[in-house]
Amino acid sequence: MTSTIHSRAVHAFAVILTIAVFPLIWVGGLVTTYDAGMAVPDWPATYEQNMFAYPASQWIFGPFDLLVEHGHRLLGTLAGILSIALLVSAWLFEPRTWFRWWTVFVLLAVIAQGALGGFRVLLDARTFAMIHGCTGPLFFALATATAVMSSRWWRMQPLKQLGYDDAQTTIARVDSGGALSTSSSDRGQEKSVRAPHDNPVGDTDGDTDGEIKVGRGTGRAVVWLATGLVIFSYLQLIVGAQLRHVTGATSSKLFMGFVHSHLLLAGVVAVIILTLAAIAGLSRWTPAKVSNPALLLVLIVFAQVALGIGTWIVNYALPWQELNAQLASYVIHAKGYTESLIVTAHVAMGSLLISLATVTALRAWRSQRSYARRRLDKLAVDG
Amino acid sequence: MRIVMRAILTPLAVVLLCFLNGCDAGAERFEPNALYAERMKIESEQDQQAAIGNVQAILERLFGTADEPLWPECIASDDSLTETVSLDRLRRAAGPVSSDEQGTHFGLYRKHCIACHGTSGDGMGATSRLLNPYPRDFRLGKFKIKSTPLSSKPTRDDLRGVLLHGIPGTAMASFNLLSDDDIDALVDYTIYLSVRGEVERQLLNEAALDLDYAEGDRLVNFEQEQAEPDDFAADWRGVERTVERTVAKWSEAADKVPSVVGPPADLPMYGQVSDSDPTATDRLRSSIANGDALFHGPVASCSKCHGLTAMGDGQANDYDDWTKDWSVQAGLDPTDRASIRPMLDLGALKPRHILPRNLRSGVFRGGARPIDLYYRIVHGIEGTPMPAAALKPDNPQGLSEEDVWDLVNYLLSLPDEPLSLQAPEKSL
Repeated sequence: MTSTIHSRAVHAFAVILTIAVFPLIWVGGLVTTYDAGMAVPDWPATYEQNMFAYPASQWIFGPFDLLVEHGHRLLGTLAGILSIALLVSAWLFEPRTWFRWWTVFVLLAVIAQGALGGFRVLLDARTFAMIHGCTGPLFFALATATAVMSSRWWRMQPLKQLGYDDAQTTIARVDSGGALSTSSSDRGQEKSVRAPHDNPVGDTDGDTDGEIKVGRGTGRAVVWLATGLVIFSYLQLIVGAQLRHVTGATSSKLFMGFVHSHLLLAGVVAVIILTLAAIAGLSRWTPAKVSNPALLLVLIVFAQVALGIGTWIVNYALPWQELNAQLASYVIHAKGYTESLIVTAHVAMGSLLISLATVTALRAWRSQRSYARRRLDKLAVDG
Repeated sequence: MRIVMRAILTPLAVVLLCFLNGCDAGAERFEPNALYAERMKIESEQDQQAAIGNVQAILERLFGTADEPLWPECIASDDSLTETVSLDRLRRAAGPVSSDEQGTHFGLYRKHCIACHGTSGDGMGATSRLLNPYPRDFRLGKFKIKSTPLSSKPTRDDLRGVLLHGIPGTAMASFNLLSDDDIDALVDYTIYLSVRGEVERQLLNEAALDLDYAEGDRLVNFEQEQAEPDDFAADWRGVERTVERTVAKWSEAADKVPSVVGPPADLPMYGQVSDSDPTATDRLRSSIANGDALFHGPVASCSKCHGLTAMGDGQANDYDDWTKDWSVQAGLDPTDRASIRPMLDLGALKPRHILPRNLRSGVFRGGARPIDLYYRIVHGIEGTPMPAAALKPDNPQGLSEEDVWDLVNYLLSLPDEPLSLQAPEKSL
């Protein structure tokens, strides 16, 4: 299958979906920051009107809570529409069966996420608000993964690692002699090309006896660190969501446990990111597609730690007021613009970190040396 | 290796707890004052479970629930007490968080206060353990920042002022972005929780020390309501009198505010004098010098706690009334971990010494206006070791009105004063 305008459409929808979900995360964060989840008491209608027919003047220029909650719902439906568009384009143009079903999963996920938000309103249950807040970033990561897996790089990467750089080639078979069979966009019409044994993109350590040597690729440490980062940063987000959704029934000991866990996990995530960036950045074999997001994660984690400290200060002040005069005289403004911005940015940045970790992990898996080796072996056997 | 495993498994265990945390959401109800009940148990040497249950039933009939609050009927029918709290505003402040199309907010207490002050206003909300100072426990009926004397309730304006301005350097936020109606509703709900909490304490006290629950005594026996209505009515009337006495203190608060509204017109105040006015400058310098002498002298004796340098480096071993209430008052030593363990297990927050303020920081939690400092000096600070100043003419050895304002001037000048005991040589 070729990287035609059709498959590029699938990727484009995936990217647009990912981009559209990020503001959705922001506005969802604002809903929690302003505790505006019940600003519209019904669902899916808005004050008994179709949500799309609800007068713009009523919510854009109305109470801020209404603007945030209704805006969140509209952005959510946009994500749903984009998920449908992604699914349709995938089923029309995407040759990979598993990917087509993946887009079904994406659509089901966005529906489930919307339903969780609906239950939160209909049942007026903060538990659902908390779960909805945890699964939102998960969907963001899902959309990001879809964008990564629909990209041209993703489809071309194994062949590039094997030494082929034919932009029109996505499905390859290697015969025992190193010959490569490719299928073009016209299914069934196959052409054969010879692997460029004498000058492959992969490291051949000078061996030109016809056997492909796979050298360039992401190392195992980067792969596992990136995968661990996805897991730990998501755990961190779940714990953070507990801090955001406290109720009168939350005990102070439990809250303290969450705070300590959040701090511990912040340390774990920071160490993973720094290690990942160091290894990926220093390794000459790690593709830029992996090392670049890994390096960007360093910036994000520093920003996230700063926002985390800021979030605590604008919510609860520091327990050591005498640390400096500024902190000693600082008065928190409940629901103030700066305060809300810092808190919500911390939430959104957490989601961004998870998504970027997902990008790094997926690309690391795809480009790892052992994967290319296994693929090579498999193709050789199949061939 | 074990440490690494623990570091990995602990967060995982916490995540599991997250789901448990979700399970209890929504179960927001007034919990009994377990610490005071335990104190009564120690004092009476009798189990208090029956009394706790009886008191909770009485409180629910009087004050309703966290979702549907009531204002006692005996108060609602007394014209002199009805102004204290509006039931409509209480209902806006209580219950789950929501808002309507017009932007009217409901569930204000849960939205803005509950995370720190707790459902019943016990100051033991989710965040409380990590805050310094701890959030206020309204149930003792004591408030620090007010314009009224010690042992008096604050006025509505005092509470409104704290809500509007917040408390610098603490987790107590300014709610100045809220509407006046929202602020009024929160003031009402604070009074409601305080009255409810005080009534609970008085009933628990009476139940523990005057009645024998093991023998079947009850403050109010609800089983008698139908069978013996006269006896029930008599007992209920006793409870109502307790409520009325408590609410009456709130009604009287406004009458206890001193008539003083600010410094004398002829006294220049620090920060408000131009250097080009030598007369005022000299007068101010003299005022500050007198304030300095009073601060370090035997009459005001401020330096005893706030230290000779006024940096709060005097006494540091005392506790506030909220801590003493469940420790010292119960015969327990706050420094003896073993003796207070039962109280800590019941949710008491770890005792912290109450430290005198560093007056050189320029941060005054109760407000930095001259009149705010005047109130702190004249009335002291409720629930803390900060006493009310002895004043003339009631106390011939005490401070005069002018002395108090001189002290205020000295306090206002402290942040700019060089850290020495010399008289300040600075621009005024």
